[in-house]
Amino acid sequence: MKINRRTGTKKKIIIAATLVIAVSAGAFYYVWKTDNVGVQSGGETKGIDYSSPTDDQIRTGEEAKKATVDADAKQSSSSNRAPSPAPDQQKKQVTVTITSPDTESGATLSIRTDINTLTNSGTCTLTLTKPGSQTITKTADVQAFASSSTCKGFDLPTSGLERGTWTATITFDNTTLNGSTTKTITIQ
Amino acid sequence: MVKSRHIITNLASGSLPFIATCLVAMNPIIAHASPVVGFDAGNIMDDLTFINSDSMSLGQIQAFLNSKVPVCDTNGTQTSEFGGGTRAQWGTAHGYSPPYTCLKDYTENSLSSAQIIYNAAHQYSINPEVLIVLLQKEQGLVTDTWPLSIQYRSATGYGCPDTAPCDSQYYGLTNQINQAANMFHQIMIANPNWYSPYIVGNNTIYWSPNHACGTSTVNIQSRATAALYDYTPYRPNQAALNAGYGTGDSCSSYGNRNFYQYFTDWFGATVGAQDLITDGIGIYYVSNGYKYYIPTMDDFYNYGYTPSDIPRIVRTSSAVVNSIPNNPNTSQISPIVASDSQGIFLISNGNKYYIPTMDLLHAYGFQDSDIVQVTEPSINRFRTADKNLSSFISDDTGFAYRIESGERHGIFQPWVLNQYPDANTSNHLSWPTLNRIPIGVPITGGKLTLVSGNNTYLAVNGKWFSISDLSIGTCSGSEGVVTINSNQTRAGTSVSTIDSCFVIDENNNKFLLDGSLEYAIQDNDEIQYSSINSTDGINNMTSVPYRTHKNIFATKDGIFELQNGTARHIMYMGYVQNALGGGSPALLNIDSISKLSKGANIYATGSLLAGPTGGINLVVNDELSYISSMDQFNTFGFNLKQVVNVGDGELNKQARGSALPGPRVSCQGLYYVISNGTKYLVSDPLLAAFGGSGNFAAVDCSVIATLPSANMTRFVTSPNNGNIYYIDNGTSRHILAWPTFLDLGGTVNSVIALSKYTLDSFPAGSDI
Repeated sequence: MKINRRTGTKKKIIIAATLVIAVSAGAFYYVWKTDNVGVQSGGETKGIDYSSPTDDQIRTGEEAKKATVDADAKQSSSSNRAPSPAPDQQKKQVTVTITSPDTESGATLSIRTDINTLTNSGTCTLTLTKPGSQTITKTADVQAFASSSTCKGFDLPTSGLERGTWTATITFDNTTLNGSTTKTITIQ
Repeated sequence: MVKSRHIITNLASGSLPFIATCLVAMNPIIAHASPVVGFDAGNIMDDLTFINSDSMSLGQIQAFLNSKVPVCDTNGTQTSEFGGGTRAQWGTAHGYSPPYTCLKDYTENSLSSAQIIYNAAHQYSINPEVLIVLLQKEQGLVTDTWPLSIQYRSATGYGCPDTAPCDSQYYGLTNQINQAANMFHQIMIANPNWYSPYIVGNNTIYWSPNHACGTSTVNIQSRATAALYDYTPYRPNQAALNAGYGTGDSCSSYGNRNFYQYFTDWFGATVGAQDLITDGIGIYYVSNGYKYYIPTMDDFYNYGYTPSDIPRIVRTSSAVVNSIPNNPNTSQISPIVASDSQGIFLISNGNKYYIPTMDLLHAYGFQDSDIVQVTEPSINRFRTADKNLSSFISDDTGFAYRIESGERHGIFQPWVLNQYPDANTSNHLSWPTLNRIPIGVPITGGKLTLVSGNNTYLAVNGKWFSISDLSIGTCSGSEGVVTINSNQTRAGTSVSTIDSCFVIDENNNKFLLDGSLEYAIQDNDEIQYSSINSTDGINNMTSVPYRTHKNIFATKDGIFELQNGTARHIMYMGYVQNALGGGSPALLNIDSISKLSKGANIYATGSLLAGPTGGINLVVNDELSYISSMDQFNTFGFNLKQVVNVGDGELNKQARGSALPGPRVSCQGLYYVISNGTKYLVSDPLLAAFGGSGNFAAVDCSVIATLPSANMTRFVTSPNNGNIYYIDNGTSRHILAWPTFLDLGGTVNSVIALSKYTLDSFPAGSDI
């Protein structure tokens, strides 16, 4: 009996193995037929992955989904409790960041910003100061990106700036939000 | 609406750590996932990969979406991953009732999601793979088997800030994809109206939405990477990278990490996969943020590409191509590339030859500005040559060069190459690379003739002369002939042209070159001389002074004298002996005078030359003297066997003298009557009877030198009638009676029988 059972088990293993091979071959053929856009990657060739997603990939996607639902619920709840718009003196603070540069040795000083809100309204004001030099002030509009915003500026010719360390202050302001940041920039 | 991109530190991207922690606890396997490999915060994706809008066909997009959702749980019957019963129950509880439409089946405005992705990719020149990954990392839409409507509403997270609800003007799958693709496109073409918060160069970037975690400086190397930070302005920290798809620490963010993870898992490398781009007009090589025009297919192949690479060239709009800056130093691909980690290389045939020193780079004629800094994937694409670059190379024919002072100097003789013990010419460079190196003066031993196509050159002492043919090389003393590729001898180094074996130096000295000897030449201004400088070494031969050869040279065709720019064949040895005083003519080893026109042959005086229409002529002192009749011919005692038929052509070359005079001639003060091949001397006492000296034509003595001589008398007879005539006062008077003959002093022996021609030359006087 044991022998018979063993034989039966072996048959099952063989059948299962055959199925696995057949499915694998079919999958390989499918991939081979559809994957014709392989690219060179520094000597490495890789095509489109038509296989089923991995658990990691699925789970990470689920987290994104869950976060969206939760966030929406939270925003809805927050919105339901929201008071009337704040007066000017109680504008909501947003984070403003000067993303670049730290130093500039070229002909143009390009100061870039990230404003941690989504808006197309408001004004950015750049103030550049350096002891012994005349303060420079520029203003620019605001532009929304995918999830944050930026000042539509600032590009200044370095020929008008003395070499050395300048202090750049950017202030963002609109009817409901404001924020400010300061950074030192070295003109070489 | 807070965005999945970076809300609540969700694993897709966000910020608040506690949710992520809970999720990891729910799925402990995530915490042990493989670390992210190859993520470069400054170069998350290169530009060409980002804009490769042709990376997937519509069918491939659809097939890919199908593959990621084998079975769609349309009715939400499966157990919810988030608890709360079935998916339908959970969804309904949160406001999203079934049915649930998977991305692969989703349509909007009668367009499938695949079509929407495809359209946006091509409209905005963005890789559809980028858009697919964006949908996944923002909403998990690609793998979701029961997606909710809110996921489509904000499918790419566009318009969803951290701190406020999503902006409704951007709602909808098509809108979301188009907004994202358009933003990416504007950044890629550097639209001056879009002030990208992040730019190529150093940027300050937060680690996560929790700004308390601080910032880092990221040297962004591609616009694509800048665009990704514009979209998700956080840099994943090491904890996030170590976690693979999993959770890092309280300061981790995941958006850009997940973008990289999904892309590499599904589509391959994000950097270095593409380095060629075209707008349908030109093809460009792109690396390290610059584009380089590829002017010819030879240059294309020289970079190691093959025809099979052509289909994978990224096709895009001119706007995109034009937005990629040219390298300020060189707008075309350069054979000199460098990477920070590997050094500087010379590229040829897809091989990279390491350049060990800057001095060697400069020796090849390249400047520092020729160095093109490329990315690591770009440098790794080239094959590493067996040997480093050295001062010796060869072309694809094996022809060797020595590199020096910015030029390649061809080495044309193996024994010359062997004189350099350190010479190793096993590095074969391609012509596109070689042609960037100017040709310098050849390195030869002695003199060498080089044949290149229809051009022939003479290499002498490191100088480069064009010569008209091989004979010039031979007479100039060339030691051999080497046939070479035309690319090996391109113009630019020739110092002069030599088209004759006759040369004239700066001191107006003239020479005939004949291999190892040079003959001084005089009085031949009509010869075409090639001007040389005595320091060029062309005539660095054993010199033969003029007096030893007098412009007389023996060749295989005979002995010639150079006269007035011609070579005159000497037809009798006496001329040579007279000219050279018994010496031998110079024997030319080379047919150095073959290019000279042939002058008239030089015949001995007394030679008789004839032509079909030129009659018979007597050569007198290198001039022809025409013989007007056979009577005259016979009178002077000529024999027809002496006449040489040289043809009218030769006769026409000869100088013409006066015709042969009549039978009364004078020579060196002596006066003769010529008849029947004898010259009869007219003595002074008889001269008056013969009409005086005026009746005698001067003739070169050589004409009559060989004639037998006799003394003339006043009594002559005619062969026709036997009459005897008395020469008197230049006339012939018939003596009618024998007594008269006797009275005039005649004797039998004093009567000379003249030919009729000669007798008729005397006018008939009165009878006696």
